[in-house]
Amino acid sequence: MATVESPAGGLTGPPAGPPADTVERDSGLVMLISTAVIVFVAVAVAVAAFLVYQDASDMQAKTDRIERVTRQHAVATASASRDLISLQAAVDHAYATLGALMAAYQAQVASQNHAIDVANGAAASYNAGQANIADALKTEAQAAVADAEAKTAAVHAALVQVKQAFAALQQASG
Amino acid sequence: MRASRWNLVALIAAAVMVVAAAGMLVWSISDRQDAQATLHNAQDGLARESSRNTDATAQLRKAQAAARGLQPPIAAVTAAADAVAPLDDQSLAGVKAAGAAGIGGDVAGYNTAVAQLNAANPGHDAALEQLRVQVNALVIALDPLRG
Repeated sequence: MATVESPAGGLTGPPAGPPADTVERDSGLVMLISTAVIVFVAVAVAVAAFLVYQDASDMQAKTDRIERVTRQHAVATASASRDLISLQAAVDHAYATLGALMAAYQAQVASQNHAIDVANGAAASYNAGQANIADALKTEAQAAVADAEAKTAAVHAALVQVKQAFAALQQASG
Repeated sequence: MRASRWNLVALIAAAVMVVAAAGMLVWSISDRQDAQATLHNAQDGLARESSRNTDATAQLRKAQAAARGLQPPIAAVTAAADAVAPLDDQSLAGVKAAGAAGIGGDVAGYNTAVAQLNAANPGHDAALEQLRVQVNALVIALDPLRG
């Protein structure tokens, strides 16, 4: 076995592996490559995260648009429902006013017939020379005629209501 | 030795970057899932609201069309009522005249007033009957449109 003589004259063993700076250089290279790979992975993951984030943002924007349209539809639906309710209310009102008109006519006819009956009774009493009975019927006849007047006025008022209800119904019909 | 320390620092920094990027990715994926769920809900909501809107609009259009179809019976009732109104006044005048004559003992006046009333009554009755028929027709047409 060859020996190396030390400068001091002593003997040393054989050199153990590559020199220390070569090892350090190799390990540094490995770390550098590892670092580069990890940075590359980090960038790739970050890009993926960004793309996913972008996708989420696009979805959110789409959601916002859909919600806006949904709100517009909701407003339109509420408006249509209100219009329908108004129309139905106008129909109900017209229905009620027509009923009131016919009831007013019935009351008017009954009232006029009653007034004629009372007047007839008074006239017949006078005719029969029963002035006392005729006088007794006078107040009743006056009241009956006043009632007939009131009932006719009620008919006219009911007719005005019917015409107003018709106008409202036409307006609600669009 | 100094270069090796820098390499280690760079490696640790890179590792931190990877962890941070992975965290961002996880957060982004979670955010995307939330956004997707929200989008699906919004799409479902839109479909429901759209359907409701279509129904409500169709119902309104149908009711409005039916209400516009009431114009002829409404015009008929108005015409019939306008025809009756002057006869009502005429009839009332006759009643008042008959009443006054009856109360006053004016038998001849009473008879005249009643005769005029009797003469006018058929026309009044016919006009009233016409109004009744028109009102009934309108009421039947109105019935399906009631609330």
